[in-house]
Amino acid sequence: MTTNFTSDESIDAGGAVGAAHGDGSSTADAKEGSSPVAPRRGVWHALRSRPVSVVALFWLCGVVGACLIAPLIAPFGQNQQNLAATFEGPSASHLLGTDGLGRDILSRLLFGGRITFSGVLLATVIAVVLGSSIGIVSGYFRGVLDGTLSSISDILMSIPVLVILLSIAAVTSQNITILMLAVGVLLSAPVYRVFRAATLEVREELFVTAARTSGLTDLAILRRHILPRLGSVLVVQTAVIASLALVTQVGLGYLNIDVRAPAASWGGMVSAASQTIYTSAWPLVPPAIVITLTVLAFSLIGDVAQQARTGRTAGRQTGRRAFRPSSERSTAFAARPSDGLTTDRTPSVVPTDSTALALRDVSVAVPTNAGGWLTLVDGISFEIGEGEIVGLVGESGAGKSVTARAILGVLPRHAAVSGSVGYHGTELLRGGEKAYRAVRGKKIAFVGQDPMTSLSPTWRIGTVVAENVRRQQGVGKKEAKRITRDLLAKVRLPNPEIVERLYPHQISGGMAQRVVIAIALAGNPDLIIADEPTTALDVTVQMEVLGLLKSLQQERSLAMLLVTHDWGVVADVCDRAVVMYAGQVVEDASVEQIFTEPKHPYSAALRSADPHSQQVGQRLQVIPGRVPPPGSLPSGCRFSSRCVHCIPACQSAPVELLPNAEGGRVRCIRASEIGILVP
Amino acid sequence: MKVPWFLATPVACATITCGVLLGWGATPASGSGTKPVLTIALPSAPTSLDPSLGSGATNVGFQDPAYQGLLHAGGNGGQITPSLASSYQWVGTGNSKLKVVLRPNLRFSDGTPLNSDAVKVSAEHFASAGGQFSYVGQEVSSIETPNSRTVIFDLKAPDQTFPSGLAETSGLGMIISPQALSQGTNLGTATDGAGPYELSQGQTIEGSTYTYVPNPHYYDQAGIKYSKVVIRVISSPNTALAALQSGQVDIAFGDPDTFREAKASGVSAALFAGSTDGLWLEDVSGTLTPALGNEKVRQALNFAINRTAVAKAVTLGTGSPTVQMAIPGTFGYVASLERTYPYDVSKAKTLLAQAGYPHGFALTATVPTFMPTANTLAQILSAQLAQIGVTLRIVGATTFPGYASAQTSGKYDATIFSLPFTQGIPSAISIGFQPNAIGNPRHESYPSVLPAAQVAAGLSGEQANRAWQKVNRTIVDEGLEVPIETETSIYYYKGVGGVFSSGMNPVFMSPTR
Amino acid sequence: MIPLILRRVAISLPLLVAVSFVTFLLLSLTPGNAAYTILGARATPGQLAHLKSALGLNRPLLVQYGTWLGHAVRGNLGRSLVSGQPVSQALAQQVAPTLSLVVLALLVGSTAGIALGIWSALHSGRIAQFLNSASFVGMAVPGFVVALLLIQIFVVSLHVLPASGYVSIGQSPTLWFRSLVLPVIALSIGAIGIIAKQTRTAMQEVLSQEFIVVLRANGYSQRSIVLRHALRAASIQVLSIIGVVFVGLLSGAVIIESIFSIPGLGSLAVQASAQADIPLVLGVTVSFTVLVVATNLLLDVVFMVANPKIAHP
Repeated sequence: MTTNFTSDESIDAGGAVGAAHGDGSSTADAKEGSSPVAPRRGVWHALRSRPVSVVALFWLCGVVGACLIAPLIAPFGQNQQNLAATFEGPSASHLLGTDGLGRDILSRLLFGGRITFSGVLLATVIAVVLGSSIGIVSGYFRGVLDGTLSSISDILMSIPVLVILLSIAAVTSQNITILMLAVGVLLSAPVYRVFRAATLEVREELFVTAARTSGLTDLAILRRHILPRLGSVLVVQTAVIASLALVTQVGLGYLNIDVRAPAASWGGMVSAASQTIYTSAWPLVPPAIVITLTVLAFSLIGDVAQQARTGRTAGRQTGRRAFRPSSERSTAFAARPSDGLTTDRTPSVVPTDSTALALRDVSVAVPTNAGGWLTLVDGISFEIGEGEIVGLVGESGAGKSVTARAILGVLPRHAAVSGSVGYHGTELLRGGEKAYRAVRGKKIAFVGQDPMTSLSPTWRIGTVVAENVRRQQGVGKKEAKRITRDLLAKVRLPNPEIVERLYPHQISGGMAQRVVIAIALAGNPDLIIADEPTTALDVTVQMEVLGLLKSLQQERSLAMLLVTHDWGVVADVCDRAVVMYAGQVVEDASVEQIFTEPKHPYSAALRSADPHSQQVGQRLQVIPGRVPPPGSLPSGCRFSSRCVHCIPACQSAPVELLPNAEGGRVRCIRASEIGILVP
Repeated sequence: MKVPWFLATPVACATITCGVLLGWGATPASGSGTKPVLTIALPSAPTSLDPSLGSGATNVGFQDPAYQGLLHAGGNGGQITPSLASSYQWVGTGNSKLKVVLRPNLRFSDGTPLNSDAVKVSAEHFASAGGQFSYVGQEVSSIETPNSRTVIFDLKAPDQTFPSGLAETSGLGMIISPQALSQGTNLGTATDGAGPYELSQGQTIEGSTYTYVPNPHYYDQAGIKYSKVVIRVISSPNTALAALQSGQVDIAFGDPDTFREAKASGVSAALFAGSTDGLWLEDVSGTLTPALGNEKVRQALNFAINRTAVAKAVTLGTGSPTVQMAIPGTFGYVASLERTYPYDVSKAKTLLAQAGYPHGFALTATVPTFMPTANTLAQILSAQLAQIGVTLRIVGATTFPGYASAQTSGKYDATIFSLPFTQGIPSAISIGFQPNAIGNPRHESYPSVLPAAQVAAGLSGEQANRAWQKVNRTIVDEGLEVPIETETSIYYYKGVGGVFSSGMNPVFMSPTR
Repeated sequence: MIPLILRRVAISLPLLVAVSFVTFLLLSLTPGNAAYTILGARATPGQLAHLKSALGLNRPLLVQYGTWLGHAVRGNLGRSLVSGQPVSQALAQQVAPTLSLVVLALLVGSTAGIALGIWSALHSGRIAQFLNSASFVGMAVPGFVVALLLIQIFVVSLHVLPASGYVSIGQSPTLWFRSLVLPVIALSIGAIGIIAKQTRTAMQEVLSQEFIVVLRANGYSQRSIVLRHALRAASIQVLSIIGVVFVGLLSGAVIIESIFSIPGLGSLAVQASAQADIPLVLGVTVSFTVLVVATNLLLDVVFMVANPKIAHP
């Protein structure tokens, strides 16, 4: 088996699929289930684990520490002049040379740093404490208070900073404490804005509403729910403000209004050096470098903290992965410890000319922080015939969405895919972006899970649909408009001429999903992949959309892959069902077969647990246990721990997917023994 | 790697732009007609173009093209020669009556005649305008105008340096048109004098570019060499030098840092004796700080400073150390006085101990920290004085009004500043010792110096010089001040005729060259 | 939308008053006053007092401020205490260089920043990493350090570009451009970094949304997805950072103007403060504030127009 990885280099078309969090957990079908909680240990963990931020922290600690103990370690006094030894370069006695008055530059940097950092500390503390506390109060309590405070912050942010500082400096005779205090007050305004926005965001979240309804006092809510969520914001803002304060302070020093001569300051050193730049350019270099590196360090810390906070890993981690050539990647993937990967040697159905889509041994993996791979789906194989509707069924986390998106090559960039996907014999997966471009929209189209986020929010509906019509059918503007209107009517949207001028946020979920279907139909495809198209819709709307899909399919003889967890949908619409569990196909049979006599214990259990078929008055049937997460899969049958029919042999070795007498396939060594009848 | 189009476009734009910029070496047109345009770079914008409000070096350069003085002072404390006047002389002895004869047919740029009446009106206005040099005008008790071309200044007290006051140095001699005065023209932003040029307000941007066009009523039309004179304000010496090197300006002010680089690049430099930097003591009676009342202490301060090293560090080799308040060639200069205070730390300490301050003492000095020279000097002095146990506490000011108000408050022992002793010891007296001098905010009486100075002011010629030398000796021996070095005013020029100076102020329009 | 704009304008007026009052108060507390500047250090106390009174500086602070405010609302910003020039005239003369500098820097910063941000959102190779780091460093280096570096390289060493101040566009467009090259670069380097970073973040966020998958899977071209759909969706965030950057550029312009001897509002502010020329400082402060407020207002309007959720509720 050759593994061929295509890691998509063009667009990061991710979605929530396969997003790997910093702490190693992963959700395959992340759209299902609850929204992820903010990674609590994310920030500090990230700061500790990324080399850039570690270096930055070291630098900061080093510089601050050195400046703190300046009186102890500085080789010379900060004002010790030697007029006979001016403008010297680095030497044994003067590690960083001397300035225009023969003073040791290193010593002046050390002493100057004390003033610089104490000023930065003062300004940062004031800005962050003031800004955060007022911002939180403002964002939480809203109302008139919020309005007033916002206006004040607007005023602060409109004041030309340097002009004010010049006046303050003159008034207070260069009292650096007062100056940095003023800087702190002025900088508290942007901090206020950020905290206010963050508080507003948290405030609206459901659990806060719940807490309030349950009678917690405001203070308790603030303390217990809101503040912990803002911890990471605090880290980010502190770093950002510190770097701003440092730059401001250095700027003041450059204008010679920060310290009383002859005390050293970094900005003052730059200023003095620039006046004698022709005589010697050297004295400019050490302070410029130290200033730049320190500001850089603050910024880096803020940046890393910000990334950790928003859980965005695509950027960096992909960068790491992308360095490795694909052959290396395949070797690495192949060399990982076995986690139950099975190979599917015998396809159940011999591919005929009427096979629209054939998946062979498709596996999808995402990289982990530890440098390894996490396999989300494992050796998936099945086929879809022309005009056939196949349901891809399973619980959340089974890998259904991943599989569906892998077919069209729209997984996130960092995901690695292996195997083969063939469309009417043409290889897609190994064919790369070129092969995909030939089929997307034209032959295979896609309808997603959440219609409210499936449409491009900044364009009118008609524009987006018409764009695809023009591209797929190659017609002109006017014709495209006509076709668009037809399509919108075809998907049973009332008043298409009104709808096409609306924006996505102005229509309901059901209407939006119809629009997506219209987009999908623009290229007259043969196969539509629908990833849980009705999950996010009301029951009545669900039925309408399903009905639409069904009639469209009949009209145009479309093949369809319908991803769902709802057996009712399978029963209504599908010809065949492919059941997935923990990243594998466990059963592949016709709908009649699955409904009357499921062969795999999991399929059977799912059927009994189906809410539609529950008996009134009886306890709700559930399958005990949980789906094992991708990182901790057993080596034997993955369902064994929850299976009532489990025997030791089930857990000893990986189980293969084998064809059975009824024309389907099943992954169970006891399939023929167990007779499972479902009421 | 394929470059996406949206990246390629800005890159292409940038490349083309760079090519255009680098290849385009155009310099501004040299002006129309046969006469060239003269462009000068000066470091700061004038606070006012009104000579009666002049505050010295900053403004004179901008007033000079439009206002010619009655007399003209050559560079390096040189001779005073007639300018708008055709001649001048003292009447009688005692240096208290000066007769000035005007050239015939002088006119202001507004067309009105410049005669003795005009001079009288202008001078009287000057005395009462309250400008920095109004005291010069106030020396005059009355002005006689026996005929339309003769003016006689009656001084309240003898002052052999009065003719310099009629040159460009103080502005009294820069005659303002009485018509402008009576019409209330805003002379802060417009000019009305009898100089070769006049300000063109339409082509002037306040604070940045001042343009002067020929004065059609100037008496010596042939002496007007340029079709336009443009003065640009360029605050940074590096920028000014670069502008000169690239041909954008013809004359630029210089500074010690760029001096070597400028000479190396083939630019000509004109050097003039500049101001004297020093620690100017204000509390010699010892009221605020008793130590300063002791002569030995003051001498100790003078011994404690390594003037050679300091001069080199501050002026980067372009200035020279000095212990006296006069430069060679001016009244009262004594070359041998330079040997009075060699750098001798142990002697300084001994003197301090003898005076009763073996552990030193503290003194406060106001410093205009916005002036780099004063700022640097203050830092150096604090280290040098620390060697003998004297703590120099710096009271910095970041703006000129702030400095001026601190300085005139009289609350401090000393100040670190640059002072122009254009006429030598007489200037020193009027700047540093007179009861109302800026260097004497505590109104000390200086009994050992002032009476002698008054006498010297009434003498002339070699007699006067010897008298001033005696005053100089007293000042130095008693350590009444701590002068440290003289700066050199540097002007770079390229492609034009020689650059002249009047006193310490740049003057470029003088028709006498 | 119009009532929204009017409301914003209405709120801005008290803001201007507040800012100008604070500035005025600070200036009045400054030691010394403009009389010193005008008369110089040799003036007698009597002359100083006389001029101070003549300048109206002896009146009670509130009266002074009130008079200024009364004139200001009618468009009369008074005259410079030092030169007598009408403040509005001085402002008009000196606002052009600052605007040229800041607007050009903003244009350069936005174009380069957005292009860079888009590119680095899409790519992750060595070059992208390098560019990200470079833009990061660009954000960290203080503007005046960059300026000094540029002068050192291009003026002192290479003698390639003029370092002297500003040539107005009316005089010579070429020279105007040349005189602004170095200052604009110095000023815009930080802006490029910030805008690139924000663009990249916003784009990455947008590109991870579901509609991108839908578009891609249904065959829309990469170019269309990135530039027509993703960028537009990200534009709100990008525009907001551009607004913030603009305010920052106004601040940064002060030091850059002094380094390159550009006679703009920044140098006017520094000079006027140093001379305690109250009407002039007030005029400059008000100008700055008006610029900031106007920019924010403009941005808000653009947001409202660009954001379909607000424009078409």
